[in-house]
Amino acid sequence: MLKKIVIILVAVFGVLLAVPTMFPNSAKHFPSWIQPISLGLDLKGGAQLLLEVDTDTMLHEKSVQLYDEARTAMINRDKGVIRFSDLRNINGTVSLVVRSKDDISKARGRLRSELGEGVDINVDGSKVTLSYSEKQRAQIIEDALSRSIEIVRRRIDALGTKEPSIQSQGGKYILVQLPGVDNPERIKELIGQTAKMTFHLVNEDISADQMAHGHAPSGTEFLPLMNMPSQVVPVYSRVEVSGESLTDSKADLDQQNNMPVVTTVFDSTGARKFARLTTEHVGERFAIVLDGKVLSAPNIREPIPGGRGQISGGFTLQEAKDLAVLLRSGALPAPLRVIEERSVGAGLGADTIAAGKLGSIIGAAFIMLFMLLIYRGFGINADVVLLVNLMTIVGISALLGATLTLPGIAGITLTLGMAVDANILPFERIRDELRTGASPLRAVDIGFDRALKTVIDANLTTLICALVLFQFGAGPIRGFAVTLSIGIITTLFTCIPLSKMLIDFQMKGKNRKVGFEK
Amino acid sequence: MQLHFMKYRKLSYWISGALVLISILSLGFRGLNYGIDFAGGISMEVSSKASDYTIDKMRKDLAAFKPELQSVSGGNVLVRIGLEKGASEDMQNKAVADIKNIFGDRVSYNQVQIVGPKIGGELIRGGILAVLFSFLLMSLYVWIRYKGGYAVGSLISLVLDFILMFGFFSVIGMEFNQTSIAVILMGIGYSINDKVVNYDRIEENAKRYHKMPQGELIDLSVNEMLRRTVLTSTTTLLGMIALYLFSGSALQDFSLSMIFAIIMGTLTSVYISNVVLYHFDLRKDN
Repeated sequence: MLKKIVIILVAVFGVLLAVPTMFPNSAKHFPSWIQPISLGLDLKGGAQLLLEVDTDTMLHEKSVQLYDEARTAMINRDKGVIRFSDLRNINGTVSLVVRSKDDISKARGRLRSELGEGVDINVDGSKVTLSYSEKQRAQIIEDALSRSIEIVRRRIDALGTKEPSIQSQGGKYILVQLPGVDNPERIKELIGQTAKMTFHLVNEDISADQMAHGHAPSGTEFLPLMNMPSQVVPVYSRVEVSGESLTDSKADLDQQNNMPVVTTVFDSTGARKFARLTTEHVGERFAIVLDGKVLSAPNIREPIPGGRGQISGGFTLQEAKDLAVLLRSGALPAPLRVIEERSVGAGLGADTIAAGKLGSIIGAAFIMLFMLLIYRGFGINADVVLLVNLMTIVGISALLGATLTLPGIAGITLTLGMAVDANILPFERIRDELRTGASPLRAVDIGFDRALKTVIDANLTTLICALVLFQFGAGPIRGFAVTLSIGIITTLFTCIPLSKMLIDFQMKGKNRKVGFEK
Repeated sequence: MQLHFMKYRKLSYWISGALVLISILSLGFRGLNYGIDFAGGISMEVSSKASDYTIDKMRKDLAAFKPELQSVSGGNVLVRIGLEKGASEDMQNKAVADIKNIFGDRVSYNQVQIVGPKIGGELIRGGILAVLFSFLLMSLYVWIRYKGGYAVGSLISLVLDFILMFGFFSVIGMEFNQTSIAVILMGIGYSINDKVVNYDRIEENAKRYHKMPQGELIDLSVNEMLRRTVLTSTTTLLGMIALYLFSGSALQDFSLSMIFAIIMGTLTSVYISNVVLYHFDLRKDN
């Protein structure tokens, strides 16, 4: 008796889970954890971007940093200078040659203590090579990935996109899903910029000849102007103030000429640095550099002590707004590249879901009709079980937070067709038993008993297939795998016990005949 | 009525061999019709908002991008641009932005897909790895559950399924994309399910009829299961046929290839995975 109650409760619960999905209007009567299944972008419309973190560029930048740190460590005045030569950075591996053989172990100790555990130090004769350890590189990439996700989220939030989903995928990718967005060009533009902003002094001692030949002296770079790339500005490589010190930025209109500008506010360190820069270099020019391009290079007319700045650069108002968003959300640790984009219009999504629904409902109806034709009375059982199974698959998917996609709908129909096997197998077994002369009651008992083993074996092998699919697959493949796995589990734990119970119930009738006997 | 599958054992092998040969030849010479998922490229489905902005005008406007334009259902136009050798993601993104500029307000976008050159290779590797791994695990299960002979039998027919599925995609020339990989794997899932059900009966009968010659034993078991085999594949096929007929273009390739997978999985169960058991001693413990 208890068993029967449990079976009924499980079935009722499974069906209830699916009610908000089947009848969206009813969702408000359900607790928050029983809600309609969420639809994939292919069904509700929206854009999906796959971004790749440019780890090569970032590791290169890190090696440049390592190069600087190695130099600083070796010429540390407090601890004594260790003489060296031939400091190089070749493909991320920094090397140097220690002048005196006696200094080698001292150099190794110094570099170890100054550079930390994350750097592998190899000594070959008097040559020392430095590179980030495998573990450190993995850490660097992981940090960059999580920081990139954070910044992408801030940028997308700033645009007011509803319910964006931003998650890492496969170690160096970021999957961005934007429901309801059917033209992601603007978002791509915003994500596509690193937005690394730095303030430099302009090198005024460059001759026209040097400019013409593009020979920048060491410590100076020729950077193109953002809105006139043919023209370059000679700036010192040294960063005076970095964009990381910005606490706020807004698009505004310049009070004098009504041109769009971006106003910025520095934090206290940044404000101090900026005040000193503008005090010591009145009359000189400084350059505001964004991602290697000069936004503007204004004259310093007077010291700016308050930590407030204004960036002009011949922007349109939209450009000024975008730049403000970028500066507010911070610079990406590495460039991001959009390597895949898929977007679906809301109209097409609605058509797709209608078509998918129609096909699967008719499919389920076909199967049910067929079972009635073949098994008559028992066919009704099979059909009830099939409906419960369908609802439970949908309900559990919703409960687990799975997303329903078009391949998922197709997968449900396929799973239903296969799940009917859990009815066909015992029914056929019962037929066999009846033919060998068993009484109806006994035939049903033996039939279910024997078939159970087969059903479990068959479903477990299929479950292995589904789990492997889930582990290795992406996108639609995963959708199938989830549907298939849930279908197998509901088949084993809902359909078989329920089917047996319903048939036992039928057999209790007066004539005690097996349903499909004529 | 008893059907004699064992008698036509050799014929089954010859036919399977021939089909494998056709599949491999087709894969070698024709290859697969890789869709954008694997080959990379740009695909846009647009609908014209102005009645005089026809597919011919679009073709003229986009000539510089060397697109393939095609009218699809609902009066929409499918624009496809293959991935040129050496093209980067940035170039692709720029091309799409340029095309959107050219179209301006004259069209609305139903679907836009841009797939860069990198993704395809990783997906194919992942897919093949998944298949091999699932073969191994499923055979291992069959081995532990039954006996070595059954494991070899299921493995042989799984590999056969695998080759014939790829052959199907190649011979028909159906677009091969991520969904195709899922179809192949689900087809394999269906197929192994079917095989295990038959093996279960063969094992049971092997215990029950000690003295029956092995060929007869297999014939008997397959015949006993035949009604079930046909009924289950029919119900599954009914679901797929409904999708094919009523779910429009989006699921047509899926349902058609799945129909093939189900028929093939059923046939390889009956004619191959059971029949090869003849070559193993099913009563010996191993």
